[in-house]
Amino acid sequence: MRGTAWASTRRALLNPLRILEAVAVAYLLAFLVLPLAVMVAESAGVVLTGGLSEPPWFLQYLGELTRNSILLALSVTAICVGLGLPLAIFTGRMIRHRAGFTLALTLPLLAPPFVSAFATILLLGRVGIVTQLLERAGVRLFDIYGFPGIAITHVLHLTPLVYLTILAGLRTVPKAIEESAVSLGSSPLQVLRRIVLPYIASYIYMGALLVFLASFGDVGAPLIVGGSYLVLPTEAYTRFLSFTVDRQIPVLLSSWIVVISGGIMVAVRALMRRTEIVHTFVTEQYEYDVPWMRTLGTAFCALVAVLLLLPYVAILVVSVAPAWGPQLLPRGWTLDHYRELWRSFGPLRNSLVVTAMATPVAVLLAVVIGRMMREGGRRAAMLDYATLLPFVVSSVVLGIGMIKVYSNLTAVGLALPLMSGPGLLVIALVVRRVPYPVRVMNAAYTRIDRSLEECSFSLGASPTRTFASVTLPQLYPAMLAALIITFIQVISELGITLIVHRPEWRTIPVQIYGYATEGYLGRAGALSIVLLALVGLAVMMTQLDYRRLAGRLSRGLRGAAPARSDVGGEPATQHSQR
Amino acid sequence: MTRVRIVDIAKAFGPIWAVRGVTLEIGEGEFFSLLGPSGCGKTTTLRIIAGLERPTRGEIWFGEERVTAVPPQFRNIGLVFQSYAVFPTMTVYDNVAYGLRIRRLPEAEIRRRVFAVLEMVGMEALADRMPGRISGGQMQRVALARAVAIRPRLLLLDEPLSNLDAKLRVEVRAEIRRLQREVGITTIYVTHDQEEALSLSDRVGVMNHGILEQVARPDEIYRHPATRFVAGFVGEGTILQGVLTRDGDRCRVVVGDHIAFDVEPSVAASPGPVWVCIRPEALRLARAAAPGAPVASGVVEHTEFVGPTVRADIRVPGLARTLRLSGSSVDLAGGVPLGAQVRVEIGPAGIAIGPER
Repeated sequence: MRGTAWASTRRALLNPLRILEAVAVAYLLAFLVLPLAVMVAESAGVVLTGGLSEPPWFLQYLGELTRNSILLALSVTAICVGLGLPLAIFTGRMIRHRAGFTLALTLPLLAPPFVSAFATILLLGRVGIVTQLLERAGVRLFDIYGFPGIAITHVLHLTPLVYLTILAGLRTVPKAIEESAVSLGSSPLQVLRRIVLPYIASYIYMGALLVFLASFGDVGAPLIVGGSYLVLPTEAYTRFLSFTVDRQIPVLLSSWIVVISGGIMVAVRALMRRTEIVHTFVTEQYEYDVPWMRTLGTAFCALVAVLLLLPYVAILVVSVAPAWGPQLLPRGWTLDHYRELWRSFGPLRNSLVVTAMATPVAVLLAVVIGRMMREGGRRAAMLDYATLLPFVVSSVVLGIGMIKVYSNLTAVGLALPLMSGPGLLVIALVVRRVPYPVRVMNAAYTRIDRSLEECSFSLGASPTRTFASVTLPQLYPAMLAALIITFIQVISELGITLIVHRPEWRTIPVQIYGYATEGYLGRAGALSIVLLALVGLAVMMTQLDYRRLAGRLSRGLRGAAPARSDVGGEPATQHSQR
Repeated sequence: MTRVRIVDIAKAFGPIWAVRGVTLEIGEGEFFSLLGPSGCGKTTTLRIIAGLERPTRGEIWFGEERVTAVPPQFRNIGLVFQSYAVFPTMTVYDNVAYGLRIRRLPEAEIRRRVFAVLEMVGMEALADRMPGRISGGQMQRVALARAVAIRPRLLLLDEPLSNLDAKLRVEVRAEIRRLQREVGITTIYVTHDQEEALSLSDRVGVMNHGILEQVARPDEIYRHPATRFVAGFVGEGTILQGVLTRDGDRCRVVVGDHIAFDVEPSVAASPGPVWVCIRPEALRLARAAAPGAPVASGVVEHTEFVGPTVRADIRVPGLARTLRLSGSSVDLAGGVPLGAQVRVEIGPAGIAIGPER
């Protein structure tokens, strides 16, 4: 059964799993690590040769941008955590109708942030509905273009992220822990402060980190409502687009973003490791039965839910309004904006084509990467950091890096057919959004009992055969979930698309951005609604019971229906720990 | 059916040595158990035999074939895990047929063999079930059938009963032994449960800290533990430090300051400091003091009623640990009230000793 040395070498080289792994690693190296590394290396060169003082205003400009960006991200993080923590505690432990509140409070996560920005203008802009209401009441609102606009947009859009993260943390606190604390004589507030908060600290840090990085790296909201408040990603973007200025400035700004984001991520991860408690999801949760807290909580959650959902109502209204001028509600309604969309069908088609290409690639990549990460060790740690990079670093930065590397290749005639048409855009979208399917697949892999595969080996199956017939079928439900999550993420990506796309491949988000900045608010609203509908459709698909569906399909294919009677013994848990 | 030879295998995980030099030979058709506490290296040893781990050093031989570097899929072994590891996406039938399909047997032959082994474990009626719809005991039977169906050279079982409840455990245990006898397959069984190991095996190897402390028949392990660890891990008893003296055919042990008793002269120890393991059956409650009998007196510190038997821990002045006495609840009923002053006779049967290292 054992071959010669040559045969085993050949077997190793032709092993389909090895080939897939090599392709996946090469993909990450070429389109993620290389672009960022080239920029950082080039910037390091500039810094070392003292090029920073050229032009002379650069250092002061960089300092101002950094201060703006960090001030914005810190404020947004503080407000989001301040809102998200009580929301999570109220809906996780106290109030009634939790499922409804949780749904309402997490819906904004599905919408892209630039849509929120555009909604902020509708509500709080110079002729916004809230602005008008306040003016009638005699209050003059501050100008939202600038820091307030970006901050409000980010808070409305990112609070759900913290909320959801902390809620997940609360689900890991065993009921017995809180019951013990209460039995020892603590009041509900004491239990929350002394027991629950320390227990879920790492989740709070995690939520804060996610918000900070999202706010710090966002380019959509600052472009739309930023006014003259300049932040790092938008400056990198606009300087990159304007050909007149120094070509090195966007590269330097991008590298600086990489350094700051990376540093903050490393620091927060260390903090999380220190505070992490071994997590197991528990089914039963403690309930704080304090009437006044429950009333307060319900009111608070309802208020925040209304605030978070208001922007989308405004978008819906503007999309059917002939003109929403200086009056409170539009006069009449119209479908003209939607008809207009129908006439320029391009962005919709482009988005669907590009997403249909990028999503399966990203999920496939995640399946392969997940398998490698499961093996643990240094390789897994490297992959972990690599697949976090797109999450951490602003999309604009990644886009600039890719253009830098790959348009140079085109210039020297090395352009691959892959790069033509939507090629580079698809590649960029995959790289940018691959962290999502990777996390989903990682979780799926950890749920698979390793001894299943070991049994398969012992029964004589090769690693490839084992993967195909034992591992992969167990991953199908997770792969479907990953497909849908990735679809949502890819179809609403703006930052990297703005930089990488060719004019004939403008997607829905780019088009919305264009409409919103050019003042076609109605069309922007209509297109946003279309985008939200696509996302909603995808979400609805996650609600289907895939396991049952897949089971039915496979049974239908085999043409044999097994007996469905119940067994005497209690069904065994398949995935018990070793 | 294969003779298995394990030559000085060792395995390091980073700086930690899980197995530090195990040498062992297992005969054709033998049922061999590896017994030890968690973390003793027994599972690692099993996984090395299975080919799931590469040993850091040492060799594995199946008969005349050296398999040390052979990947698991070419070793032809049957594996059964604690977690059952029944493929959740396949029916019971497909699970058992899996290894046969890989061997590209004709479908008719596969069918015949699958039903033959399913019958052996009494699962033929559930062949079309998905694993989610059968119980834990049934899952383990499927795993067993799947392992045996390929007619492996060797059957390896890693704590196969640990996830089952107490009653089912005894049931499946008997089934494993019956199946093994029927098929006549060389079997290595890993467990931390001494009752399982002692009741199932032809021979038992007791492991601790990555080394084999003793390999022997079950009764021998219990009666003549080779080391202090084995004496303490297998069976009940009180382990004390003592001094052995030999006077011709008479062997005498002194524990504590003054308690002396005879032991069987067959014990393998030379005079000097020894560890002494006093099993509960070495102790008898002395109603009336027989003249000259080795007797210790002490206070009943703790009693336990466990159905047919009663246990009592007796604190004897001068001894570092309490002596554990056990007897039928009929005999001892009322005889060992807490706090009572009692006298116990010791030995000579039921006492094991060994040189203190």
